[in-house]
Amino acid sequence: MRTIFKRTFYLLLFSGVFLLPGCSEQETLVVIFHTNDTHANLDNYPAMAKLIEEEKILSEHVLVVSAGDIFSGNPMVDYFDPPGYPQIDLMNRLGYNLNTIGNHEFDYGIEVLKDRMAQADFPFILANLDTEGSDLPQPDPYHILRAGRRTIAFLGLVQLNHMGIPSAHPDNLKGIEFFSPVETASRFEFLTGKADAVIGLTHHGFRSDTLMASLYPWFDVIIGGHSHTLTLNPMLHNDVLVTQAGSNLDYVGKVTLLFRGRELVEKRGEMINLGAIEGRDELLAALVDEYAGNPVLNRVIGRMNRPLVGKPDLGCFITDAYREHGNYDFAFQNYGGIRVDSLTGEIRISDIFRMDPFGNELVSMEVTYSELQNLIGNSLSGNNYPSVQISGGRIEVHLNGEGTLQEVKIFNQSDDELSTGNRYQVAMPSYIASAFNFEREDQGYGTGIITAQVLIDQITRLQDIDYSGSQRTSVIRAEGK
Amino acid sequence: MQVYVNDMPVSVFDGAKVKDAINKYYSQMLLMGKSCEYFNEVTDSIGNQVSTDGSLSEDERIYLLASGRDR
Repeated sequence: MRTIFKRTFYLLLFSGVFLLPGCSEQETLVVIFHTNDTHANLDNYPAMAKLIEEEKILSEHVLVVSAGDIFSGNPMVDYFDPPGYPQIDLMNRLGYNLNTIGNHEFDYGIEVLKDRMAQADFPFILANLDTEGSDLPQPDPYHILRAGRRTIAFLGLVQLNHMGIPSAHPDNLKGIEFFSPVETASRFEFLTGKADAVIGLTHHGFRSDTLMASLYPWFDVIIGGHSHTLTLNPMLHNDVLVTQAGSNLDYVGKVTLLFRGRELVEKRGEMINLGAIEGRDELLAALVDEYAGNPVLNRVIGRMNRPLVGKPDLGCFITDAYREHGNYDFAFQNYGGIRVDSLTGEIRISDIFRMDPFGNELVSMEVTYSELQNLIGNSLSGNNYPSVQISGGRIEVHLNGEGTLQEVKIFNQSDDELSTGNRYQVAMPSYIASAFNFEREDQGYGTGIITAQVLIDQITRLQDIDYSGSQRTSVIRAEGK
Repeated sequence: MQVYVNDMPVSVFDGAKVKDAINKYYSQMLLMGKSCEYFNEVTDSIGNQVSTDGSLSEDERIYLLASGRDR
C-alpha cells in the first residue's frame, strides 16, 4: 500500500500536470540516464533496461544519452560482422536518445561508423570537427530533446591529442579537421536562447569538463566521458553540475532536472551501480547471451603453414608485424607479453587474444642509438639475454669473462652498427614504453591501435603464412677475466 | 607528457592511460629501491574514482589507495 501511495505521489509530482501549492507555474521533472565509455560491454544492459522501465513508471520524462566511446573493448562486438552491430542494436532497444562521437567511435573506420550511425535510431552529435574532406557526413553539433513542454540542448565535444586529432588511428581520421573542444564550446552560448537547459555531452575528460564549467557557466550540466571518472557524488563546479559514469557499463548516471515554468530550479546527479539492480529485462538478457555466444572469435583469419614455436620466433613474427605496420626502423616486443608457446595451422581471432591478451597499445617514438642500448641493457634477464625481441636488425650483448655487461650493440638490416648521430623511429607495446627502465628524451605517443589488432591485420593480410623466425640476438662472453 | 602518481612526477607517452602511468610509477619506485604498496582503488585529485583504462591529460594527478584508506 505504501509503495502504491509513493508511486502515485511521484506520478502526480513529476508528471508535469501537478501544481505544487503556492506555485503558479507548472513544474516539469526530467530524468536523464547517462553512460560513457561503455566500450562494447553489453552485460549490464538488461539491468539498465529494467531500471529505465521502472523509472518510466515514476517519471513521465526520461531521456537516455551516451557521452561517447561505445565501441572497442569487447572482441565479441568489435569483431562481429558487421563490427559494432550488437552495440547499436542494444542501444536502440534501450531507447537511447543521443550519442556523442568519442575517439573510439572511429576505430572501425569511417565506412563502418557511417553504417553504425545509419543503424542507430538516435543521432550521433559532435561540434568540433569538419568532415568536408572525408566521406563522413557532418554530424549535428548539438541536438535539442523535448521533455513535455521543456527543451534541453545537448552539445557534443571530443578530446584531441598532441597531434590535434582524437586518440584513434590517424588512418581512420583522414580528411577530417578537428578543432579545440573547449574553444568550440564558446561558440554555442546561443543555445541558452534556444532551449530551457544546456548540457555538454562531452568526451574530453573530467578535468576538461571542470575547466569548461569554470569558463562557461551557461552550461547547466556537463555529462562527460574519456577519463573513465566515476563521480559517485556529482558536484557543482562554478554552479555547473559535472558528472561522469565511470566505464564499461558498471554504473549508469542519473541526472534529475526540475523546471518551474521554463526555469531550471534544481539539478542533481547520482550514480547507480548496475550490478546491484534487482531484476533485468529478460528479452534483452537473452539477446546479450546470443551475442556473447556467437562464434565470431572462431573466425579463421589465416594459416601458419609452418609451425611457429617458441617465444623468440613468435617475437620475430610479432615485431615484424609492428614494424611493417608503420614502416618503423625498429620494433620491440617483451617476451613476457607473449602468452602462448606456438602458433600452428589455422589461426583464429581468439588465438591472437590468447597470445596477446593485455590490450596494449602500439606506441611510436623517436630514439637515439644510446637510448636503444639503454633499453636493451636494462632488459637483460638472469642469463644476460634481453627480455625483448627486435625487428629491423639484430642485437649483440657483450659480456666480460665474469659475465658482466660491457656493451650492447645494435645492427640494422644491412648489418651496419647504428650511428650515434641518428635518431630512429621505433614501435613497441605500451607496456615496454611504461614499465621498462628505459630513459629517453621522447616519450612517444600512442598510435590508437592495440597490438592484437596489428597482429590480426597482419595475419589477415598475409593469409597463407610461410614464416620462420631468425636468430636476432647473440650474447657474446669474452674469454678469461 | 608529465603526470603525477601519488604526487611523484612520471613521464609517459602521449595518450597514456592510468595503467601506463602506474606502470611507470612502479618502475621508478623500484629504481629508487622503494617498495610498491598494494592498491585497489585509483582516484583523481578530488577523490573521484578512475579506472585503470581511463585516459590522462598533461599534469593530471592520480592517487593509488588501499581500500578504506584516505589519501
